Amino acid sequence: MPTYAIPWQPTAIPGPEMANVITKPAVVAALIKRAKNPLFIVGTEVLAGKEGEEAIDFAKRFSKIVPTVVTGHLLEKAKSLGLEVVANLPAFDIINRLKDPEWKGINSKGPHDVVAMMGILYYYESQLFSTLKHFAVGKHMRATIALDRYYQPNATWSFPNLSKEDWVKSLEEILKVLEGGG
Amino acid sequence: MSGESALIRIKELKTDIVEAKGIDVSIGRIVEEEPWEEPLGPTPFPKITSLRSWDFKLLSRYKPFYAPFCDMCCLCTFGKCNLSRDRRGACGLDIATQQARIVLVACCMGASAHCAHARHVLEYLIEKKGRDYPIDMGEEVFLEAPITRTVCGIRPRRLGDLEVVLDYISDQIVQCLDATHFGQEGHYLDYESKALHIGMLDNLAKEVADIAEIVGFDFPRGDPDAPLIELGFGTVDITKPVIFLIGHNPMFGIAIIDYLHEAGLYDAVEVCGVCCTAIDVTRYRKAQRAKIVGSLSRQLKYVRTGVPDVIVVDEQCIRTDIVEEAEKIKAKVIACSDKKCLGLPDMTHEPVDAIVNELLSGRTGVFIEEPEKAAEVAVRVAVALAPQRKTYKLVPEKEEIIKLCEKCVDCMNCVRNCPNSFPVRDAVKAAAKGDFTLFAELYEWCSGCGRCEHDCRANIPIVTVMMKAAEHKIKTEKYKIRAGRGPIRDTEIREVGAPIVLGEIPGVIALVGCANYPFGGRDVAEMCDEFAKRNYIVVLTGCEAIDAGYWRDEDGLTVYEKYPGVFDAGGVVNCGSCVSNAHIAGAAIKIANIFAKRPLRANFEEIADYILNRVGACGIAWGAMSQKAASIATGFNRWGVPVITGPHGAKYRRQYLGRQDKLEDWYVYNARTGEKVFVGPAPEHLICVAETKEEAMVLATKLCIRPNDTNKGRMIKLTHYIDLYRRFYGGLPEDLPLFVRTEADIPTTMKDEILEFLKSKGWKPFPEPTVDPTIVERLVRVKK
Repeated sequence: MPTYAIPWQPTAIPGPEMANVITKPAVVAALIKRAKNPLFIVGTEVLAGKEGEEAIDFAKRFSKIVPTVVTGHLLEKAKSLGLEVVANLPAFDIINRLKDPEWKGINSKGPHDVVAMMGILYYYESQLFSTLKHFAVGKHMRATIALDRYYQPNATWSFPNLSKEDWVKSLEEILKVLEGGG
Repeated sequence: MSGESALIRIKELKTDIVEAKGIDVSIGRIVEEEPWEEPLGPTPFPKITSLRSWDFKLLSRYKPFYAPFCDMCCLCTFGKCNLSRDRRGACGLDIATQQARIVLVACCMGASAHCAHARHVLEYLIEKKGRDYPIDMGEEVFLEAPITRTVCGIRPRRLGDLEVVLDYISDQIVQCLDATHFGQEGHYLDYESKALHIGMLDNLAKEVADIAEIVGFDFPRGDPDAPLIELGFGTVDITKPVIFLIGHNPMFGIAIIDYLHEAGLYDAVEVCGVCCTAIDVTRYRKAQRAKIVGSLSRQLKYVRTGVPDVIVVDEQCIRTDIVEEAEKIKAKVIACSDKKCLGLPDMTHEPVDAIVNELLSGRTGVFIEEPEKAAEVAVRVAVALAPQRKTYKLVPEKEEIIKLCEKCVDCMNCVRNCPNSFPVRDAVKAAAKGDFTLFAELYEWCSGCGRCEHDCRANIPIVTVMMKAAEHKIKTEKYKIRAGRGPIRDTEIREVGAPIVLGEIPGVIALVGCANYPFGGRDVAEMCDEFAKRNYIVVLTGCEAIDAGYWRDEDGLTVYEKYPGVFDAGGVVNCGSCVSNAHIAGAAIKIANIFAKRPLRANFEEIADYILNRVGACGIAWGAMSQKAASIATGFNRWGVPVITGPHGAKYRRQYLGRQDKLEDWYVYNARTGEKVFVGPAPEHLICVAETKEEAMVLATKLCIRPNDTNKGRMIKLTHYIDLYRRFYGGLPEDLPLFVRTEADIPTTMKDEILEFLKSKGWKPFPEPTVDPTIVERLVRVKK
């Protein structure tokens, strides 16, 4: 049985369809591994350092595994931090393309079937996940994953609201599997 | 004559009970037209579907992008209905259509607010001045009502002529609201078309309101040198009785100013306010010593300083708990609008002495609909109450605040309930240790909604604590704002029409809307400064006009002192309150008419097509929050003007987005040949959300690009796009090849670098770089 959480901003609660809580980070790793063409979207909150060094380190390492789109204006910063960036687009623009079943993907390898997102302002990211939930997931997209510290109810999978320590530990576990150590 | 109306003149009437001569009976509204050589265009007083084909043209390029705020529909008792995972509601509605429906409801609410405001003011002024009072917008404004002319096909000459316009808007709002009922409209595109229709009518209502106020209250008529007004918490002389105005309708504040002059008390009482009512009162010549405290975000904050003695509220964007808030500081409330009676006793028909006594003997608030009576009561109560209130301790001392903050139970509800999740808990914890630094910082960013303290388990009055922490800052907040000047003069349009249409002025940036910012109002001032410095024309209204003034550069100047108020390159133009927004759309329309000689009369589609393809204007509603902001922006979109909102704008649920990767979307007709030609994504979106201020600024430079730009104009626009992109993002924009039509478009100082970049992207010159662009086939003059 899937479990749900209360959104970090409780008023972001959307209704009966809420994200499954990630209880085992390995699930995320498995989703990514099984995906045909996964995508990672990173926003300015992470790149500006508001989520801490650990989040930047995760984004850097994850971007080497999953094709990565940076949103907002911190493209140069993302590159200087060592992220491998496939494209830089406004958040609405990449989500608008992702909801299009005909779109061939940012790397022209076909639709992105699993999309992970982190580091966009909480309420804005919630809205972006909502678009994918209603217009992409279950159609040409298998799942979306929120990698932020706080529960994002409109994703398919999300961490619950975590302490920073637990969050960093969970991110590390995901990388451990994907980088071949687990 | 227009509208469905008739005038019957009876020379002589004799019946059993009446004998009369020379009777005029008017049925409906009459607008007597003087001879007007401009022929009537195709869509006078357009109905819901009259411009549907135009909307569908826009919507086929700028497709609605929905981000549902809620999975459900809760509007009827079949529900709640869960619309997620392709489910449909009991009525058959899907999630996309439900979003469009809610957007239409929001637009109807916004347009109703503007229409009702216009009606209230117009009826008052007609009663004072008469239906035949002339509409004189000043010597340099001959095109007095560009939106009314273009939408309705009439030229209003007298105040009474505006009534027919409001009748029409009211009727259309009813029709469109009807379409949102259970089992009515069933397709999202038709809901969007209706939202665009209502948005256009919102713009029309605002024009009526501001014209009425300008002529009725003798506000500035497009004066670029309108006086500088004092702005900021620190400008209010708190040794005097203080009357605090909140809302949008200036007729009550103006009545207070008039009463103060008549009673010889103008120097003895401070009149100040927040939001648009404050902007509009300071447009009144006899009120230029009134103060603007700040934008909407400062409403609760100012009440919590304990300064106001009497709070006068008119309509819109006023806290609904203002009576409870007034009670906390022992102030009095006078509610004046029948739209906002606040549960207060109606004392409109009571004698002034009785009302004053009632308030002074303990009642917190009253409802008084008559402006002059409300004014006298407000002044007399403020004068009598102020000395008494000075003896009260209205705001806790720092020692008490420390004790309050020590009660924090670490529940984090303040952070989680803050729309921006600001670190309120950390500020409370620091304050409990006597450190108020973080609270003082929060004061700069906070939008003043008060949700943090409503959810505080320890009942800490967080906003009050914040105001105490920022006490030293508040005292120094003394800024300037130029009084709202109203319309753009025809003479100014003659000067700038060509450089705007040809692209040599890089664009018109409209900073408009509410104050729900992601990180405080300073972003607006910085954007304003950046664009003015770059020779864009910056026009402002409402709360963003206020927040743009709430900042000084290194030389100590606000943007209103630093830049001229002229509608020209590098001008910073405060048009006025949110109803003055109409003059921004009006300026774009005037360009089509005065510069390009396009007929306006009932000719919406051609004018909007002109603006979309030629007038490089872009709105930034960085703090958009209200339903009015939704209808304003949607109206601008129908005129062909793109709008960028701040991240909270995503909660409006809908954007209109272009796809630059779909090259087939970016063809227009060349009106000279009838051929379809590629022009690139210009403008790329109609309404979109930016994640950061920097992203918004770069997007705005791009959204000012138009197919009609000359090579020189495109070169100038690209210079700003590239320059800002390089500064914030680094490198050259990846989409540059879509905007460089020929080598002649490339900024000369960067030519080699850009050419090399373009070559690396496989760029080829556009087949037909110079076109006479239109997306309306009937406007093609010669068909092949």
